[in-house]
Parts: sequence; C-alpha cells; structure tokens
Amino acid sequence: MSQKIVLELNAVSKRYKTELALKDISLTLSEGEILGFLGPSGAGKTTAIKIITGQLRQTSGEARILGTASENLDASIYEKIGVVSDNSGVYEKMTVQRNLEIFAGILEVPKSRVTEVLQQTGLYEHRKKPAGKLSRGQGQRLVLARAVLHRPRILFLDEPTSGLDPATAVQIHEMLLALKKEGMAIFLTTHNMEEAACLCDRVALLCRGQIAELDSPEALCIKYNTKKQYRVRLENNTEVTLTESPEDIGKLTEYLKENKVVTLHSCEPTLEQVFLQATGYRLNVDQGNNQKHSGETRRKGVVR
Amino acid sequence: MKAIKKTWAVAAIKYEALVHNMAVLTGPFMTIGLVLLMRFIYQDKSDGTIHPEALASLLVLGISLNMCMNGVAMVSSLIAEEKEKHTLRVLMTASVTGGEYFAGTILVPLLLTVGVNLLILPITGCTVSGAGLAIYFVITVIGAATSCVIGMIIGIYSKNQMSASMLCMPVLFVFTLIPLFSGLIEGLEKITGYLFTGVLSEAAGEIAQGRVYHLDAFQTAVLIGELVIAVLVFLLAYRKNGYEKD
Repeated sequence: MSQKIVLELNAVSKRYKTELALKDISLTLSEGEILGFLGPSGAGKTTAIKIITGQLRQTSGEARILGTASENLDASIYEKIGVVSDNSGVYEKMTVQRNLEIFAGILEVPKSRVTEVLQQTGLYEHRKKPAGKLSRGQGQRLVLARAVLHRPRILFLDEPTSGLDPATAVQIHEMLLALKKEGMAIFLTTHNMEEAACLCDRVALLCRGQIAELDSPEALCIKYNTKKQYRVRLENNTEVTLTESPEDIGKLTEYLKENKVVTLHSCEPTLEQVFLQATGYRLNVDQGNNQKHSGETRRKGVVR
Repeated sequence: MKAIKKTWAVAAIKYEALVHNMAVLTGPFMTIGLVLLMRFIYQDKSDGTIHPEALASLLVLGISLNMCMNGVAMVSSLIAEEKEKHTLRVLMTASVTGGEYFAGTILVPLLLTVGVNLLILPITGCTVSGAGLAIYFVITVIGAATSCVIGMIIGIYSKNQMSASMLCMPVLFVFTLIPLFSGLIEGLEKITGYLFTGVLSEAAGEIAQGRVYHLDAFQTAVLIGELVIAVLVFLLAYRKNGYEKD
C-alpha cells in the first residue's frame, strides 16, 4: 500500500456563474490504482478531469498532478498523462496505423511501439483501414491505443465504454486491467456501476458536485448491507431468502447438511443500490445494471 | 527540436487532410481557371496581347481570389473539420502547444497560397523580374500569411465546416470585394488603404504595369500590423475556444 501518490485533490470547488459544479472534492490516486469517479450525467465528473488536467481552472482548493499544481501545468504534462474522453476524435481519413504514427511523432515514441499497441488493442489486422471505417468499439480502442502510446503515468478515462456493446466493453476492461498491472494509475469516470465494480480499486460516489462516499466497491457494499440476507436455491427449484435469525441459520445449516442447496448468495446491495442509499439519487440504469446478485456477478467476465 | 517535431506532425496532419478534401482542393484550381478565363476574355483577339491596365486588374483579381478562397476558406475549413471531428482537443491533450499548432497548421496552406500567387504571374502573362518580383514575393507572403491566420481564427470560432463557410462570407466580402471595387466607388477607396488586401492590390496593379513599387510606412504598417493582430487574436482564440467550447 506504499504506492506513490500521483494525483491529489484537496477541497477543490468549481463554480460556473450561479451553478456549483464541484464542492470540496478531496481524494488521492496512487500508482497502479484504478479510481472510479461515479455519478449521473451532470454530476461534475468531466469538470473534475478538466481541472486536474489543467484544461479548466478551479474556483478554490488545490489539485496536484505528478507533484505539480494544476494552475502551473503546461502542455508538457500531456507527455506524462493520457486523456480519453467520450468524444475523443480520430482522423477518419487516415489509416489506423497512420493515426498512431502521427501521435508517435508528437509524443516522441518509437514506431515499434505503434505496432506493439496495435497488437495489444487487437487493431493490428485493421491497421490499414481508414479510421472512419472502424466500428464504434474499434474506434474507441484506437482512442485508447493513442492515449497509452507514450506509456503515461496517469490515464484519464471519461466514460470510456459509453455506448459500446458488452463484448467490446469487456475487451476494454481487460486492457485497462493490464495497464494497471504495469503500474499505470487510472482515473475513470463512469455512470456504469457494473463497470466500476469490475475495474475500480476505489470509487468516489459523486452527486451534485459532492463526494458522498469514497472507498472500495466491496467495502461500500458491506457498509450499506444493513439487513443481512441470504438467497438460497434448493434442489426442488424453490428459492428462499433467509435472515441471520437463529431460526433461519438453523434452516440453512439443515439445508447444507442434507445437501439440498444448489446456489447460495449473500444479498449485500449492489453499487447501484449503494449509490441510491448514499445520495438519494438513482443512476442511469441503461448500462446493463440489472444484476440481482452482488459479489460473484460483479466480476463476471473479467479477472482482476 | 521537440517543438519542430510537433509542428511537423501537425503539418503532416494538415497535408493529409488537404489532399483528402476535394472541396477545399478545388480552390487553387478555380482561381487559376478563372484567371485563365478572364485573360482569354481580356486579350486582344488579333494578337493575343493584353492592355497593361487589364493585366493589372487580372493580377489583382487572381491574388484577391487566391488569398480568400485558398488562404481564408481553406484554413478555416481545415480547422473547423478538426473541431467537428473532435480532434483539436486531442491534439491539445497530446502536448501540442498553441504555437506549434499555429505553425503546423499554417505551413501547407501558406506554401500553397504563395505558390499559386507566383503561378498567377506567368498565367496572366505578367513579366516581372528583379526588384519587382522580390517585392511581389515579400508582400504576397505577408498577405498569404495574414489570410491564413484569419482563416484560422474563423475556423476556431466555428463549430463545424458549415458554420466556417458561413462565417467566411462577410470576411471575404470585406477583404476581396472592397479592394476589387475601390476603383468604382469613391468611399471604398479610403477604406481599402486600411486593408492588407487593399495594399496588395495596389502593389500588384503597379507591378503588373511594369512599375517599380515601394511600400510606404503606412502600407508597411498595415501589412505587418494586420498580420500581428491576426496572430494574437488566433492565439487567444485557441486558448479560450479550443479548450472550453470544443
């Protein structure tokens, strides 16, 4: 846990005329960590990224990235960080490879790295294709490939899988976890709770510009698991929900002894439900957040 | 060295965008075609010669069109495309500074505009050499640079290529039509002296008639001053609009 802190926000606030977009945001991000910044549209996620990366000035508070205060950042910071937004464009008439070669030139990266990244992102076979002919998922992988071309120390991802099909989203998740293993710090904004639970070491639940909770997804789910329950599917295809009462514990022990249990799930709340409890607001539920179970299904398809 | 590499990369992007954009590429060909057509109309049908005043107006027409169609319109379209496709922010977040973006963006259109300005001379049939050619070269380079930078400002304030075309119209009217019609309307003659295209037109007209032209202090100030102002406005617009209104 002695990883180096690469990003630090200390009571950062941002006001747009009459609207308060961010209020007293404090957090840190360490090397090899994925931090999720979760909230509905308009919660202030993109504003936070813009402040941290020097694209926008905060109204008060301090933001430090790689040891430099955000107000002192210049263009050279982008040689150490990568930024992916949900509308990052590509040069559509250039080939996939040329798109990366251009940025390899800008970021002083050897051309061999282009081939390496093309292979990592599964775009090698599409390298001769004009970028405008790529599918949305392939296009997003190209954007990601470009952002990691120079092996940034921090990667900022603003809704990286927004609008992508589940299979492509899983491919991108796998890429991000591989980058994390290499020691890259990742700052991820999303309103997809399933994605956050899959990827993030810690999540900040953001609502109306304020952080309501900041901890690991597991810790938050346990914290908000006030009514402990277990859902049991039995051999005769019936499903029963048991509490921690002595009577129910006795029943559960009996089912287990008699080998009647087919499945057994703890019923701690999902991150979506935690968000609702912590903020009183519901997140968008169109991102495939229809899981009923907690622990197991959160990690489906991705091994951290 | 780093800055040169980044500038070169931006120039490569612009070059590739240009060769793939037929609408923009037709500009130089249209200018040359129009000058050829007008020369055919103006020339004496019996011996193919052109009256020096007609030659002067042909050259003025050529460089005015070139400055605006190629300088202003081409550059504004290239930048607007970048905003439309959300690649301008990508460049900004890939460590490209305002200065590098400026230099890289202006390089190819500037070379093209200056090239067409030089090509117009033999096409119109102007025989300029020595000091006249040197002055023509210098003032058209400055004029081409100013028109390219004005195109960049329009591009950076545009949301897409369509709005860039719309924003170009009033600018083109001011910088092209005022010098062209200044000889016909008295009020315009006073205004044209304050425009870089006006100074260029006057110089080109004189050079085309075989006279040695010298810029006076006021004309030099107009040419240089408008270029400097355009560059400053662009850098300000890049910082403000490029980031926050992309």
